[in-house]
Amino acid sequence: MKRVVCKPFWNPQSEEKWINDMSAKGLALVGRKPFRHVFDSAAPGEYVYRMDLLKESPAHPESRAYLDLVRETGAEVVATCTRWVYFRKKADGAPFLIYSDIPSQIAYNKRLRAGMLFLGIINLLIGESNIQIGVSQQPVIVVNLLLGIVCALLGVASLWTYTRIGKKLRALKKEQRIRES
Amino acid sequence: MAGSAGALTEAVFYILLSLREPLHGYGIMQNVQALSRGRVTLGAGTLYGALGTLVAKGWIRPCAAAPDARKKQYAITGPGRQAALAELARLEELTGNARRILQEEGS
Repeated sequence: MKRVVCKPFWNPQSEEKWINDMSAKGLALVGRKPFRHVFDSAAPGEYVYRMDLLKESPAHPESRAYLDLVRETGAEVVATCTRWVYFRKKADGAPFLIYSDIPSQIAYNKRLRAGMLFLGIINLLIGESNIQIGVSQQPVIVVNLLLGIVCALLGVASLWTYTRIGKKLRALKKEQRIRES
Repeated sequence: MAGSAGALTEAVFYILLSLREPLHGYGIMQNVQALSRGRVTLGAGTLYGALGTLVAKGWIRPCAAAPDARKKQYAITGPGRQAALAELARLEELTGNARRILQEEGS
């Protein structure tokens, strides 16, 4: 029986961990929409999930070629949401890695971090201008004020994730001085 | 990467070694795993990114697969072969020095 969970995430690493925790409890992700995860019953721990951020939209020929390659490895493409893709593979004890060496992990995390910086700045700008509009009149325009506060909070959350990914990048670069995988 | 720019990554070196004959992406992954006796498993994201970089550098080229084949194939180019040979020379220097020094230590 399908179950929809509305849980927003700003940190993709936290989201991937949560999806795998749900899988361990017998709830396998089968769909993804903005702010909604769709689960179906499965044997506990039947699947391992990985997320990836595509460089282009899922319909782009390069993305389709990449997704075809992932399917050839035995993994399934469970869902795509904007440029996010959700893969899963049956848990067979073998590691399921999308990025298996440090240089490609660094490249992926740089892409994530750039996305978080963009979202953070855009949301802070939209938030600030809506708050300004909201308080520019008496009585305050509640819709703009609330929208502004929500956007500002999203901006802060994105920039917080930006710093967390930056920390991970520094750890990877430090490791790269010694080894590459 | 190789030559004056530094060492190739293990993934890139194994990809170049796999493309003596044209091969598709998953075939490269399987070949690398076989060559390394299971030690090296290329992630799909790692492989796909490396293929894009190697095509951009001119070290490999996409080549036309059979008409009924869906999978894109790649083959090594002359510069790619040169890069692999330069990396081989670097590794031979490394292993030669390591063997000499570590065997001296052991004796």
